[in-house]
Amino acid sequence: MATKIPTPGCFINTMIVRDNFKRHMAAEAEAERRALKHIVYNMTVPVRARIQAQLKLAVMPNYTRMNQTKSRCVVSGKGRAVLSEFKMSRHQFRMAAQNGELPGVKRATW
Amino acid sequence: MSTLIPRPSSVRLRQLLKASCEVFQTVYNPDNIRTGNKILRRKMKGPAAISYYPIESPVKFRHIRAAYPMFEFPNTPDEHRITMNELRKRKGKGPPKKKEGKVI
Repeated sequence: MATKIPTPGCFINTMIVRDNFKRHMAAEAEAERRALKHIVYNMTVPVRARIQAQLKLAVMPNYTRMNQTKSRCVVSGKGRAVLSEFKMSRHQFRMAAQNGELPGVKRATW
Repeated sequence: MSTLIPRPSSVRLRQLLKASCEVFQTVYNPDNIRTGNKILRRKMKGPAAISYYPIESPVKFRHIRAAYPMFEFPNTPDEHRITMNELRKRKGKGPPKKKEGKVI
């Protein structure tokens, strides 16, 4: 690998390391993927080139796909029930909110 | 008798459209050919994706300890761990002694 992927400063977990790697790889390949997709969708380009672009896109490794990134809890590494606004899973969010660590978050009553 | 206003020819209308596109800096595509422009128009998600996990701080606890030797910085989690291990040893639940060799 040419550039080293920076280590996350949060809780570290095998899954977080894998997800972090995928995010960096997907960001690196994003421009190339975008260009290939544009060729595929462009009807003014000859058919052969479009097919070649589609094949090239299909052959690209899975870690270059943005779909494969998963939002994980930054405190516990949990992959499910993660609130995107806080980057925490529901239990960690609950603990932090009750400790007052989340600004403006309080129990909902209305 | 009403005068009929002649409709401009399609050629002239196209010229008008082209001029209008040049003026307002829009894309000229009168036949609505799929150019794949919509793929290029989309925003890039790379920078946002990378910044999900916070970057590791270059300053660590041991650096602060080394930088200010006159001050005491108690390592509370580690001290807790050591205390718990000592309690276990007192109960007789510490790590077992290492055997010298295989006993067949």
